[in-house]
Amino acid sequence: MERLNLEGWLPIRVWQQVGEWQVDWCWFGDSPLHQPFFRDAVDDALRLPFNQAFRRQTPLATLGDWQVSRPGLAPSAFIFHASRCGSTLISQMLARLGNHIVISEPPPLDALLRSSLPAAARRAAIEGLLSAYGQRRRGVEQRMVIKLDAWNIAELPLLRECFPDTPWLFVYRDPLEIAVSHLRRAGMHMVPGMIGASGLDDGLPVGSREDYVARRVGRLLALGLAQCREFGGVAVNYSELPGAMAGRLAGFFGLDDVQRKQVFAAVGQHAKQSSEVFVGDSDDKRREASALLRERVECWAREPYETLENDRRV
Amino acid sequence: MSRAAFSRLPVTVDLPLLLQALAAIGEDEWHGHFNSAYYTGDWSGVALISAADALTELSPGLGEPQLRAPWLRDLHWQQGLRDLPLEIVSARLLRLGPGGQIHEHRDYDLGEPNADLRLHIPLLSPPRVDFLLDGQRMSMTAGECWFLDLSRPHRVDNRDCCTRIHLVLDCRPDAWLEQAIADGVSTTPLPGVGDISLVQFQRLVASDSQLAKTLQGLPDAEIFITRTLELAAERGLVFSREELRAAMRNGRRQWNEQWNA
Repeated sequence: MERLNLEGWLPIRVWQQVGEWQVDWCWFGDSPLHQPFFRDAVDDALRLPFNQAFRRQTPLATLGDWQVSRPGLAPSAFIFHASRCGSTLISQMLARLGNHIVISEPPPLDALLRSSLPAAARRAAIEGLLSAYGQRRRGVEQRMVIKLDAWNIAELPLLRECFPDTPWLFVYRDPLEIAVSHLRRAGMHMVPGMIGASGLDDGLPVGSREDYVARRVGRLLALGLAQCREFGGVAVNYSELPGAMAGRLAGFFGLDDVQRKQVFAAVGQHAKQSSEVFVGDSDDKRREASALLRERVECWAREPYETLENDRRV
Repeated sequence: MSRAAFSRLPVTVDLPLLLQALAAIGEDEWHGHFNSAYYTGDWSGVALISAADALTELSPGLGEPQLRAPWLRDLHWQQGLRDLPLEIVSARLLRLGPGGQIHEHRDYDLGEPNADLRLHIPLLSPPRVDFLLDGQRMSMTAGECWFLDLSRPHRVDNRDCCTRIHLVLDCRPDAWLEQAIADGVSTTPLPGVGDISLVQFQRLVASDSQLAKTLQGLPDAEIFITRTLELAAERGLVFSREELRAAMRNGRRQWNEQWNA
């Protein structure tokens, strides 16, 4: 049998094709993933003609085979979040560290977490996928941090089945500020039907945009709260950032003194639009909120937020 | 439920009658295809039924379908299709000569809601014609009737030394046709792999990391294409720039289009 060699290759997509799960692999060589999102890194990699013509497609089982033949780093931490609340700032700060692999919202992980695969097959595929991301392509990597899509907080128990001991964060923010951000420019999970069925669905009619966004934000916070309580997550409020990266989160991520300084070199840049300097924008966002939005957010999201805050202060 | 991308309809056409009718078409009745930017070689056609306001015999129009002279003077066309209760708005004979190529394109108008459904009935179908839909080779044989979703990327390459001629029907969607398309899916021949040489070379690159490394180091698309063709040819694998470009477009599209699903 031909020896499996996927050195320098990363899975960029898993999907079902006439009933069979497939993996699309793209060649990254030893390029680190510094882009804010995994999708951006793939867009960049696909500029290379080679990756347009010679990507590899394998069955799902190849993820497990590659893990057996070349196990990657196990994940050191997971970042869950309520969206628009600083999780990308954290991941971008970590991405500056040479010894860190940071994978931010990789679509294949979401696809597997929300797939209808049988439990054992899904577990094997997720472990294989993260092992592939954990390959030490440059040889100096020692830790891997995975940031999930916001809605994956609902699937946290599935991920815990694979990695029961990996510590995880839940990053959140005042729900009115999250909601304003989504009204300015809606995230995928705030557009009805866009991401398909997810744990954010509540079965109610879509209703007004304000109501819909407030409900989804409320659901994110309620799920975050419930999972933190049941599975021992570390709750982090946006208001603690970026300072906490020198304090309790530095401990959480295992950063030494030099690294604590290094990560702050990233703070001069806004996490998602690198041309914009990161500045707190809570006041702007609150001023912008309509009376309807305030009222809907109070109705759907205030309570889980305040409970998260109480738990965090204990 | 969404419609299949392709389906061989479980229907029978009377091929001998259609071939008789085809033989009665004079050489002077064939007109070059209007879409001249997208092909090389002989791509021509005869309009049997077309819109009253069509600018040329082969271009589309919005007006009432009009029966054209070659259809009116020969009852064999109608008789050959007697078992197909179709509402035909356009019927054309399309001919691709030996060595002719229709470059990859999409007929976007066919992808719109309530658009006509296009059926292909191969009349002359030499073996070495590749009809590639979404990169998959459609295994069409003379006398069959195929629905093809041509709003998807497709191209045709006649590598044979004989002419290919299809009878192409645009039909209004209706319950019978939708059902025939759905019923045909389970008995439709599996598509073949397009571009055997290119696929072989792709496999070679996947298993030979030195070869892969050479090509990974070429960020310029033109240089990459030239070098790929050379390296493939050295290994006895011949394919065209156009085939490689189509594969590259397909590679980008597979990633980009997943978000539109």
